[in-house]
Amino acid sequence: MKEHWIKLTRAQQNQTLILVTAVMLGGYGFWYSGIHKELTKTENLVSRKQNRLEQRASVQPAPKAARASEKDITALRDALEQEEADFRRLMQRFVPLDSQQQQQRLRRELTNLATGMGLKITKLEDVARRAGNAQTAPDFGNYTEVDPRYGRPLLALQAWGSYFGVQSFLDELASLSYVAAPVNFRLLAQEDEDQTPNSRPEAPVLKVEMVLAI
Amino acid sequence: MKQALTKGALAERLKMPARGELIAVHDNYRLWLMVLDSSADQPTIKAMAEASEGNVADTLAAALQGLRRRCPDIPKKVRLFSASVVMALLELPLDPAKTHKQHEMDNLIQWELEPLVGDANEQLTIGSILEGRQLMASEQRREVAQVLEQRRMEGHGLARFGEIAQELALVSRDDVQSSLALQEFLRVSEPNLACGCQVQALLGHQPVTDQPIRWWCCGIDRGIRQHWLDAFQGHGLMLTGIAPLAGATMAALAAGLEENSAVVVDVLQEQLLISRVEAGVVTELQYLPRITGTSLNTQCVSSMLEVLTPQTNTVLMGCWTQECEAASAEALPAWLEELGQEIERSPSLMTSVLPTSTLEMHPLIAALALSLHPKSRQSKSRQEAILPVIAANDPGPPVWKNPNIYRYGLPVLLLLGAMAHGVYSVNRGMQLEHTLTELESEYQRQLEYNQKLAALNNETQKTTSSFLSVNGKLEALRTERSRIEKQVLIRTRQTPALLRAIAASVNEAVLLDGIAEPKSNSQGSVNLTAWATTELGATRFTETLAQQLERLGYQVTSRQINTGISRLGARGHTIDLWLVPADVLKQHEQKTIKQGTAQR
Repeated sequence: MKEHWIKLTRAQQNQTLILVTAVMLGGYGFWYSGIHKELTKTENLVSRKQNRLEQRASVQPAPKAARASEKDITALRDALEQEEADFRRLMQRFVPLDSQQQQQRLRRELTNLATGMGLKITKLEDVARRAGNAQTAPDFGNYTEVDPRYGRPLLALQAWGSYFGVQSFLDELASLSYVAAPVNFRLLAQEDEDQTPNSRPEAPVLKVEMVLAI
Repeated sequence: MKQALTKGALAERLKMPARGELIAVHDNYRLWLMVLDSSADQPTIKAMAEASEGNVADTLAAALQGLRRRCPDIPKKVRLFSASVVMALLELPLDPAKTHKQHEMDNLIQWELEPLVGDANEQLTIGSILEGRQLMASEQRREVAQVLEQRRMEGHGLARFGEIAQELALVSRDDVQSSLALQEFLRVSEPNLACGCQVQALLGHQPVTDQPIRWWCCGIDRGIRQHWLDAFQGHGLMLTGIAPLAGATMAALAAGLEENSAVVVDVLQEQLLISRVEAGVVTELQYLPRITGTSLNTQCVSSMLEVLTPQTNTVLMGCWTQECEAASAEALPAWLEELGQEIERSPSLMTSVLPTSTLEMHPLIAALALSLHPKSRQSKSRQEAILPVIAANDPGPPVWKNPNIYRYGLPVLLLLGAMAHGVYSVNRGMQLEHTLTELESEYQRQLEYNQKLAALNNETQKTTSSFLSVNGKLEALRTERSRIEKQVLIRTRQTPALLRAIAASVNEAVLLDGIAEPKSNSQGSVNLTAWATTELGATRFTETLAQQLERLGYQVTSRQINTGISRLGARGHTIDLWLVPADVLKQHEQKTIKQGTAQR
C-alpha cells in the first residue's frame, strides 16, 4: 500500500486524497442525514412533550380543606334525622294541614270547650280566609292558609264570658286532641249586651278576642 | 576540545537500532546488502545479497529479493556506503564546539569538493562500468581500449567503447544500454552537493590543539541521494545516512589503529585513497587515480612510499574490487619486503573482526558492517569509529511550511471532526431519548396525580355540598321547630300563666278594664288597663303584679296611675301599664345604649 502510494505522482496523491476525503465526507453526510432526522424528530417530541407538560399537565391546586369530614356529615345526618323525628313528633301535636276533617274536629272541640267553660262564642273562623274585605274572595285553591309568622293556620275566636271561664278555657286547651295556642288575645270588660236592666251589674262580662294557632 | 556538533550528530546518525540494521554498500557498479543480527551476544551477519542491474531501483529490488530469500525479516533502517560520495580533509574556519546550520556547512564545503566530483565523473567511463559490473574482465577492457585506440588512429574518431565491445561480442547491447543508463545516473554535470563533516579524529581522540583543526568532509550530489532515498522508500526502507565508501577501510579496521601509526589504502576500481592515521587521528588523505598498465601492487607501493613515516608500523589495505581481493592478501608480504621497513601487521587485526570463514562474501564489507555493530562498539577493547555521514535528506521545512501537514492533516482533521461530530450527535440522540422517556413518565405521573387530585376535589366538593345541604336542612328544621316552640307552643303555657298572675294580683280595690295584646309587633307585650278605688289599692296592685310576673319573665313598665272615672261611673284611679317580656326590654335597652354611644 505504502509502496503503491509512493509511486504515485504528487498530483495523483492529491487527487486521491481529495477523492477519499470527499467519499469520507459524503459517507458521513449520508450517515448523518439519518441521524439528523432522528435528532430533529426527537427534539420536536421533547419540545412538544415539555409544552404539554407545562400547559396541560400543570399541577392542579390542592383541594381546600373540606368543611367537614364524612364522620361529621354522618353525625350531622344523625342529628338531622333526630331533629326530623323530633319535628315530626312535634308536628303530630298539631292538626294535620291536609285533613279538613281533623281541623273540623278541632273546631268542634274548641266550641265544646268554650261552651263548657261558659263562653258564648260569637265568631270562630280562619284568620286568613277572612282577612281580606268581603269584596275579595279568598284563595280556595289551598286547603288551608298558613300564617307566615307562626307557620301554622290561625283561628280567630270571639266570645263573651267571664274571666274565670277564659282562664279555664285556656287551661283546658291542653286537653284537646291537637294544639291550639293563643298567640294573641284581648280581654275587654264590657256590659253584657244581653243583660237585662234588672240583672246584677257587678257581674262584669268580658269580651274575648283571641287568635289561636292550630 | 568539545566536538558537540559533529561527533555527537554523527554518532547519533551511526547509532545502530536494537533490532539490527541493513548495511548497503555501493561501489558505483554493484550493490551489496547485509543484515546484521543484533540479538546474539556476538554480532554476526545473518544474510547478504549482491546485485548489479545497472538501474539503481532495479539493482536494489534484485538485491532485496535475494536478501529476503535468506532473511525474511529485514530491518527497516538502512545505511548506505557509496563510492559516489567524495571525501576530503579540509581546514575549515569553524569552531567544533558550536553548532552550525546544515545549509551553511553545505555552502562552505561544496566548492572544496566540486573538483573531486569532476575527477570522479572522468573516471566513470563505460569501460569501467562494464568491468565494475563484472560484465567484462579487465583484460577484455584493455583489449577493447586497444581496438578503440587503433580505430581512432585510423580515422574513426566516432568509434565508441560500447560499440566495439559489442562488435567483439564481449557484451550484449542490453549490457551496454544499462551501463550507459548507470553512467548517466552517476555522472554529475552540475554538482549540488549534500555534505557531511567530521573532525578528523577517527576514534574519538582529541586533535592536537596547537595544530589547525582539520575536518573530514564528504559530499554527494543531491540528485543521486534523492534517487537512493526514493529507491529505498519504494521498498519500505528508511535511509538513515550515507557514508563514503572510500575511507571505510579505516572504519572497518579502526580497532587496530588506536595505538598505531598506520597507512591505510582503499583500493577502488578507478582510484586509490591513501590515508595516514596517527593514533586514531586522520592526518592525511590522498586520492590517486589508477594508472592503466601499471599493476596494483606497483602503484600501491609507490603511493604508500609517499606517505610513510619512520613511525609507521602498520599498513592496511582495503580492496573494494574483486580484482584485488585475492591479490591483496598474497601481495601484502611482498609489499612489505619491497618497502623494506619493519611493519607490524597483526594477524588478529583482520581475523578478530571477520565472521566465520564459511560466509561467502566480501570480507571487508563484513568487517565494516561488524565494526559498526553496537555490540562491537560497546566492547572496551574497541573504540567507536566515526565516519563523516551525509544526512539522508535535507532538513524539512518548518511544520507550518510543510505542505504535507495540510495535505494529510486536512483530511485527518475532517475525519476526526466528522467522528467527533458523529459521536456528539449519537450521544445527543441518546440524551434526547432519555429526556423524552423522563418527560413521558413525568407527564404520566402528573396526569395520574391530577386525576387523583380532581377526584379528591370532586369528593371534597360533594362532601362539602352534602354537608351544607344537610346542615341547611338541619338549621331550617331547627329554625322551624324553634319558631313553633317559641312563638306557638310557649303561648299555651304563657298566656294562662299570665292571666293567672294578673288574677292573683287583683285586690278588692281593683277592677280590670282590659287586657289587650297588640295585633302587630307585640313581641309578647300586653297592655293592661284597670281602675282602683284608691291609689294605695292601685299601687299595691301594680307591685303585686310586678312580683307575680317576674317569675314569668315579664316586667311591668310604662305604669300610669291617674285619677279617673271607672266604666261604671265611679270616681277612683285609672291604671294603665304594659307587661313586657324581660328579654325584649333588655334588647331594647341595649339598642338604645348603642344608639346613644354612636351619636356621641
